[in-house]
Amino acid sequence: MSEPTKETIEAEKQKVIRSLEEDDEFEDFQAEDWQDAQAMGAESEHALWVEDWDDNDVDDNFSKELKQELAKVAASK
Amino acid sequence: MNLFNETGDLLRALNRFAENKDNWAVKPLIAVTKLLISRAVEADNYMLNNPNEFNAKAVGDFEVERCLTKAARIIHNSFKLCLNDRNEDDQLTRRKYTYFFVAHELKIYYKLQNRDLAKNMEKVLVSLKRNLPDLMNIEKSHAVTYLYYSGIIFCGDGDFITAYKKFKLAYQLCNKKDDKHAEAILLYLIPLKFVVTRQYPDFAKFAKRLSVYSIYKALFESVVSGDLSKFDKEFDELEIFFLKKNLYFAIETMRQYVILKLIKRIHLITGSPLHLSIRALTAGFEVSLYHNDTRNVTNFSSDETECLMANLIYEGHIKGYLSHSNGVCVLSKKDPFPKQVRADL
Repeated sequence: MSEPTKETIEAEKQKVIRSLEEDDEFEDFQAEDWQDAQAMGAESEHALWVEDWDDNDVDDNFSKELKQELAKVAASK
Repeated sequence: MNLFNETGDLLRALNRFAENKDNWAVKPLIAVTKLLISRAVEADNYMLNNPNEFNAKAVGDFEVERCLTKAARIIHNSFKLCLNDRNEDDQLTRRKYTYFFVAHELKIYYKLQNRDLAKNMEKVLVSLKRNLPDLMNIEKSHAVTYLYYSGIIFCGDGDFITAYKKFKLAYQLCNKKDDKHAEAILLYLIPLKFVVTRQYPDFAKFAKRLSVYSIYKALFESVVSGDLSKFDKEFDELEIFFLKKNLYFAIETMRQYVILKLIKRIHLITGSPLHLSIRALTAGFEVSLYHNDTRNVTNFSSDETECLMANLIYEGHIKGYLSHSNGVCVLSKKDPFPKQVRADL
């Protein structure tokens, strides 16, 4: 699957907000109970996260501006 | 309105009926409780839209007592009926269903935005926990509903660790096929996971199946880049939504990690391993805060920079000290920015 574009994310965001703002955002369950094997379980929760985000460097407009500005400060010393 | 009153009477009658029965008699109470809440919501909406049709009973001078409040009182009797059952048999005791009624009372208090009553309920539970069945041994829909609403209360109260544990367990118990409830839980689990353990949502995985991540995408991207203006813009836009959901505090807590990341990046760029000049930091903050601002205001002072640094040092996110007279922050030789990711709880 390709990366979703900015626009689709924005549209999706508005949709999620609408649906979670409804009066009954946590509606009653269809079934009262289910088997342990049918539950998400610890592993499926564990798989949703990453730990190495802090090491990633980013290269966007903001980064360029930041570097330029800091270079100016260094030069004016 | 009449429908609501009749349902209320029915639940009251069933409460009396179940008094000396085993827990089979609680099943109809559960069904009627769900019905009562949805009818109370309808009746409240109707009264709101047709205020002149009823000579509603006044509470105090101004407010009209809402049907949801009445419903909570009746449901509270069902709760006590289950809680106080002395039956020793684990299979037959009504205590098994206590959490269902707790969950639905909490749901009502959340809808009414009544934090005091909700917290009282939690206190009662803590004091009685020994007598209640383990959450893993009751019907999963009851456990998940209880954990969800209880988590919301703790999240709004700033007790992120307790809230996090509740949402995590709720997610684990949730049915694999049930995306709707999973998304509602993840709305809380994503920011709480980050605030408590600094683990970052794997957006590629979320994008395949769930859409709730879209709310957080921009906020989390700014945590990685240190872009305060992006964070603040997004936070402003969603502020009211977060307030309604008791998430405001949790998201606000994320902001200091954007600042921290920004400082780390400035540290990398300026190249000096042991010093961070306050001037460079201030310039960096200005870029981060205002680079999207067309009005071209830049009024961030070096005092503010020192204040932010002092806070982060105090919280243990940076090791070092501020030297005001030299205009630098002196960093510890060893591990100036301690690792953020925590062991899971």
